[in-house]
Amino acid sequence: MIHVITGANRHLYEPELLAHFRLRHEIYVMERNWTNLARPDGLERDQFDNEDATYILASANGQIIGGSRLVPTTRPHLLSEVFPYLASVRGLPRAIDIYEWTRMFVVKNRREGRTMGGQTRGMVICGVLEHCLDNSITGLTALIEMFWLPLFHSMGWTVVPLGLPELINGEWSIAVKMPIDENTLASTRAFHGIAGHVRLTAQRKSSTGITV
Amino acid sequence: MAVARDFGLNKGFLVPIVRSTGFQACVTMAGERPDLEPRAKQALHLVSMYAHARCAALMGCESDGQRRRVLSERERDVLAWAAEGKSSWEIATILGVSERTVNWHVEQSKRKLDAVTRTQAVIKALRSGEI
Repeated sequence: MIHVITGANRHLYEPELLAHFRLRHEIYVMERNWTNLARPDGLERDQFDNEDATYILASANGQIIGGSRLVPTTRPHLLSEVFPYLASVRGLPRAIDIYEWTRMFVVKNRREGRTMGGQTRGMVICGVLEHCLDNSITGLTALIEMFWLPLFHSMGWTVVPLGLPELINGEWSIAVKMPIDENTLASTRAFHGIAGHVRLTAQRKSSTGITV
Repeated sequence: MAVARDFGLNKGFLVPIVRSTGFQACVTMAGERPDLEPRAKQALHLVSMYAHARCAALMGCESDGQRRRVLSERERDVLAWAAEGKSSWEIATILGVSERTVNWHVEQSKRKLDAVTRTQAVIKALRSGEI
């Protein structure tokens, strides 16, 4: 099940958001060793985790199993504030219908195994797309590791590099812009074998009973 | 390498294409006096990944193991044992089925994978991540 959490409904989702910040700390700081994100409270939160951020969270059996963050490119975001030089070839697109996509994760025990890992990841990506298409968002920017490129190509996305790859946290990474539309969603669903909507249609919290 | 040099390919560059399912392919390029400065290499890295994706799309092959699997579980079992060098009789003993059943699964796999021989079926199954 996919939940979309914005400034408007986040008061209904505080426990889930906390659980998600904790998971991000486990994944990005402990597992991937991005030590600059380490925080004494064990919650990975940066300056872009503010009222402008939208969170797409996947849950199963009351647990958060994956997620992503969207930040409007008209507001300060990772590529504009921290890595502007990565967009040195094409420049950084900033518009009300373009959002920056960051912190895409799937918890470890949902990653292993071809079908299950791919399924959770597919749900999160489809959740992001469904939310974007319903909110007239036509493009996403992202700082991605190069190893994501083949996946996006296979899912039928158009991925436009904004600059040359650079080593970031020991991984070759690149800033990209990805135009999205109904076809992107259709091919992404087909790739992951997802039949229909993944997102909770009501923007209110249902009784998920998520334990933190 | 000597042959490559005869054709004027003195120095080259190789980009491995690695996906979540492991190593998939590599893109190589070489020339007489290639520009292998860091910036050029970064650009080549990028170009290689796009070239590979385009080739995969044109060939109609989903090179990611995420694609829908075509073989049944039993067919995968049989091919996995065949990949270990087991004969039909041995596979039949291991799986507790008749030799005829094993051969039937092999034939089904060959048909599904568009393979002429058992060896080709095993290779295709390995490459596509079925086994």
